Amino acid sequence: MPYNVMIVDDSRSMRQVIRKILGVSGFKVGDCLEAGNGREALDLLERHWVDLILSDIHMPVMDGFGLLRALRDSEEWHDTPVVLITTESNEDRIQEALSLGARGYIRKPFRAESIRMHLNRILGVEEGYEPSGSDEESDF
Amino acid sequence: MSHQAAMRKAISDVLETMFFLTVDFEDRLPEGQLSLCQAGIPVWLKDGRTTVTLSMVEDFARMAAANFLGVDDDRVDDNEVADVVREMANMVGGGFIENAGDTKARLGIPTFSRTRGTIGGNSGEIPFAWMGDFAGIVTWDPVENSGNQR
Repeated sequence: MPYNVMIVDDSRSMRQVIRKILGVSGFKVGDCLEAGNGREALDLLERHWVDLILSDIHMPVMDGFGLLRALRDSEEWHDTPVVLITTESNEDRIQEALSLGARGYIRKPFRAESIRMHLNRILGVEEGYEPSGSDEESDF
Repeated sequence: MSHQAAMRKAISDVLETMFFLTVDFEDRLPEGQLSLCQAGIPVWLKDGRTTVTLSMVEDFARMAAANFLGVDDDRVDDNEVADVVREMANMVGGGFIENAGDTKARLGIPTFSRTRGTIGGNSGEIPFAWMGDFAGIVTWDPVENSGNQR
């Protein structure tokens, strides 16, 4: 079953690149939403179902930590896997992100072929998490 | 690893991995005024704050943006170049921190500008070339001992 994915990054170009990589990686993608920061992501989540969130940390308005906190406190979204794609290397901040519920992180710069491998490993795709709401209607 | 070595490795890693560009490091600086695409990013190191600035000549920046997006150079608009240069500075800053082994360092949000000026004269600077031509330079200010707070 394909994953409905949301990519959250303040760089439109980076969102495009991640979207393209997902498209050719063999990772099963259904709808693919994009948000420029955590606030925009939460707004989209009021109207759309997603199975997986790929998020940057350093963003204006609401950063990745703000998004993780909001998701953790949400009845609907607290189980949704969030994978960080980030330049962050501060150990304390990475630990903080993991303690807030991030399933894992991919460091920028990354090679295209590493995305699927990382996502499968982080999510345990084949034998683990099963997208639950992918058959819901979406405008995308 | 010294800051100089950490920065060189960061530039090479970022440009090769995500922009498919291999650059050479040259000490020779171009003379005269250049039009540059420039992105600066604040970095809080354990011994203080600095700003890392990535400046690239327009043609090289456009080529890098095109490579990043997987399109021809003439299909990249100015906003996309700005966005890609900002993201490149973000990744170079992150790589610099990691290579320098500063596990408590933090990055700010990068800002972009187009500018015209001369090259050189910074406390830390690493010029780089592509196919023998000057392509850009990464500079950083002296570290200000203002603590590790944002």
